[in-house]
Amino acid sequence: MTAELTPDTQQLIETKSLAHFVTLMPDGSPQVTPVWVDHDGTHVLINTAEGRQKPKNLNLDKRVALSIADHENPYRYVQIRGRVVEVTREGARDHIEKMARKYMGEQAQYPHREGEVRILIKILPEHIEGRAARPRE
Amino acid sequence: MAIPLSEGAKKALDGQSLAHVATLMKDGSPQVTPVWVYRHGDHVMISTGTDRIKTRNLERDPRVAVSIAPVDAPFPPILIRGRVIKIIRGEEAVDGFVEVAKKYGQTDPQRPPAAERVVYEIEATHCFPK
Repeated sequence: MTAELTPDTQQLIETKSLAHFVTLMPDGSPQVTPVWVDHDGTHVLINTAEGRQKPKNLNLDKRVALSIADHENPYRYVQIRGRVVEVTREGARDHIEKMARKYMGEQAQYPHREGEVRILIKILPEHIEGRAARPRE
Repeated sequence: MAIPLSEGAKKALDGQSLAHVATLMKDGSPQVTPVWVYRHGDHVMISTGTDRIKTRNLERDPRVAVSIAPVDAPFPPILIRGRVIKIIRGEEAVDGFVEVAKKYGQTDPQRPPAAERVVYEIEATHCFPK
């Protein structure tokens, strides 16, 4: 089962809003962190680095979820559930520069740490829900 | 093992930033939505409707994670993992709704029917920054 990234969802992903990205710890409990987020029209894209908890978790379980609330109107939001279909180094370093320009400004450069290996996570959405205006109390 | 919340976590929970709360679906897969939160001492309080997916999830599996990236200062974000230790229903849950609605800027929130509200009280097992 695959869910389509509608134009509304794509537009929300293209704002400077952060995504809150959930992976499963080895004991099955959830872990959630805010991340920079992108899409390619079909997949949600998240850039992280080797050795972090998220890729370790994804080695064990590909099921993920993320929620994005518009940073200018937090009651406009989307929640996505899906699974990781690819984790790759290819293009990941260029992609983090694209993310730095998106979130930090056109002239920004990503502050690379020595020895850091960037990886790109591609997520296929399976369920997408959202609400445009109503607060989630 | 339960731990106290850090000062940074308390400050974020007392502010008006939304929290993103992750729960587990029946099949063990994760789910996450933005929610209103408030705080009682070292516990994270989530006031929600009884008809929500996360409600069903939290009644089945108490394990939960919370992430807050305040809009004015998103880094470092506040990351909490923990478990539901108490489920509050009835008029006390409506009191929780009124408390959280005021915190997020509603001046005179109407009391919803008690059957529609629930509050989850969460103790932390992990908290970042410490």
